[in-house]
Amino acid sequence: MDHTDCSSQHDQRHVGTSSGTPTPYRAGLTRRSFLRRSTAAVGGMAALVAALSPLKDLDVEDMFSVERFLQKHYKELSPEELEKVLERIRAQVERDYKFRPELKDIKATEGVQFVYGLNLSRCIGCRRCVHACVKENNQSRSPEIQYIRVLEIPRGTIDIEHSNHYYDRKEVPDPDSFYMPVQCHQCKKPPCVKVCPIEATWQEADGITVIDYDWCIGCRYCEAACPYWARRFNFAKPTYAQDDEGNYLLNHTMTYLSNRPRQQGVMEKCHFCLQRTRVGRLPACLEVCPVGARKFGDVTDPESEVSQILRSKRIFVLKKEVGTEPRFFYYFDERHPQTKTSAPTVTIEGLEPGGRTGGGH
Amino acid sequence: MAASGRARHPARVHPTTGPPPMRRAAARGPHDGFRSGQVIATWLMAIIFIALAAYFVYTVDDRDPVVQQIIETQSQDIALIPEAALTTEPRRQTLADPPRIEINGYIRTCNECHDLLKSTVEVLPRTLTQHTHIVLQHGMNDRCLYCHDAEDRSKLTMLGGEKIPFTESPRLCAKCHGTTYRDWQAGTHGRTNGYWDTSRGPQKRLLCAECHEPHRPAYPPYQPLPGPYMLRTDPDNHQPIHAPEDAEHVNPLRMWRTGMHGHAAEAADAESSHEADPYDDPEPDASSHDGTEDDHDQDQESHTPEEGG
Repeated sequence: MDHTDCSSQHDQRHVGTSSGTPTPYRAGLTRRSFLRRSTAAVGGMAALVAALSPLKDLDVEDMFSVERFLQKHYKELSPEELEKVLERIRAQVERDYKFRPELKDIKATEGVQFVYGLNLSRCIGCRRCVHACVKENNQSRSPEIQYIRVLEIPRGTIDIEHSNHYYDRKEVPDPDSFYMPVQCHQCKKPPCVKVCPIEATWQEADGITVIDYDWCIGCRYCEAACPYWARRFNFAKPTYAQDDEGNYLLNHTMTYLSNRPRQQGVMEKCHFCLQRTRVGRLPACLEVCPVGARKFGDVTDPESEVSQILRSKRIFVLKKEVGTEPRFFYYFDERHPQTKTSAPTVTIEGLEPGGRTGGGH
Repeated sequence: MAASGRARHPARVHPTTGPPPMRRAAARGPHDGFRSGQVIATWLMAIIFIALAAYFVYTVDDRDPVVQQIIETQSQDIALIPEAALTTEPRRQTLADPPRIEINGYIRTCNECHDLLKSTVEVLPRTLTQHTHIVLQHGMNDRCLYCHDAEDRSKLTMLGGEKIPFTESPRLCAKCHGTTYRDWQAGTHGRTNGYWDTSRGPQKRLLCAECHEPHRPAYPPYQPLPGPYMLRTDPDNHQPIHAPEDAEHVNPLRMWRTGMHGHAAEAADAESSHEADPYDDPEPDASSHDGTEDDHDQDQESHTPEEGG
């Protein structure tokens, strides 16, 4: 088709109007080729405009922020630049969620090493920690993101492969099960940090592994690398619950590295509530635990609760064989107190000391 | 730009009648109709490609009307966890010194009655006319006066006959539970609230009786909060949607995108008992559950051995 076309125009091209250009060999613009090219160009432009038309409904700032795009890595930010970044995030939160957050950046305290202990003898699997964490750390409610998974494991095994974290009982604990909450273990040798191609996640001086949500590209390598299944991905922009007046039910105390609202396409995970623990408070999951199964503190202080547990209790870490050296450990009491306690028969219970030796081990 | 670059070349070749390939190669960039058609086609393809890419990028998630609808519906129907369920307050309140308790609608101290009405000798089974709500299930510690002082009922009694106020009750518990008391003093048993760094704020270590009912100290069962993927509510009947039987093998993303409609029907007929707020009553009472939920619970239990095995 083109072949015949071109041969017929061959001669004309030499004398084609070149609109003042000095080169005598400029391609001639015949009516036909002009129409062809302009039709193609107009068609192409129309297709492009049609394709980009959804953009006109979009809030440009919502999709893309030049400041955010040009922002440096968290560790390279000077204090002034960091303050500018925090101000940008404050404004963004105010625009999206209609309140001005108390957003700060709290640095790690030198000489503090956070350690978390969890008493498997006490945990009753009530999932208070899961939802206190969601509330404290502004996790997305839809799609649902939870940092803590409470595994229900049959009594007599520690077989995580056969555990169930979807248990739906009318009351806990189940006498035939024990409960093992799993969250980020803040490993001393974190595989998730090792695999991150862009250093968007790293370990801080106090042992907390954090994520720069503005630097993460969402490749999810860290999620695959984590042996504790502790990392969560924002498949969509987080959705939060609202009260009747339309106010977003969010925690207003935020820090850059922890619980500020995340965007679509970034990883997140437990960070030991660093907005609380770095100002001396206890994590939200610990404070809500009704049985006191969770213990948190500075392991460099020999009088702290975790140090005393490490000295006096039988402890273990999950998946020790993978060599991650977690800062999160589990421990036991001498006896398991939750064996058949809810048995209603008074006469038999009265004969047993404290109802504690009814079985279980 | 490309056209003007080509225009400088004197060689005007034709694909079939033009010069041999060697000469064509020497003439950098031949520009006949065939070639310019190719260029146009390339540009067209590039534009179409960019347009398609842009179209896919901006329609990938939020522009999908189905997904958009799910997000909008769910954001209205996210089942809220009641504030009371996430309280950090102690589960029980301890008594002051002297203790005041409610008897027959009146707030009284112990000795208002016990000074006047001397209680009879404690025999088993007890024939109590007051304090009948107390269930004494404390193992072999099955007499009132093992802990309560016989003469001054507003005090507790230690082994040597020492009278201690109710506010110091952990010392009384330590009479028998020495190892637990030692753990509690060290902070390895029991609940701590407030600050881990006591130089920066107060720390509150809960007392024995703030978690344990002294007459029935075994920790009572608790209503668990919903598990993962159980907070979704069905927009049609506002019932929670529960994870399917093989929930462990469900891709979370797929669950979020399409799961609502698939499980709505199952949820509607089986889970009607869940509409009552289970957190109104802090004391779990087995008698308050109806048959539907019991059936459901039995289903759960019958699955447990499979999962465990």
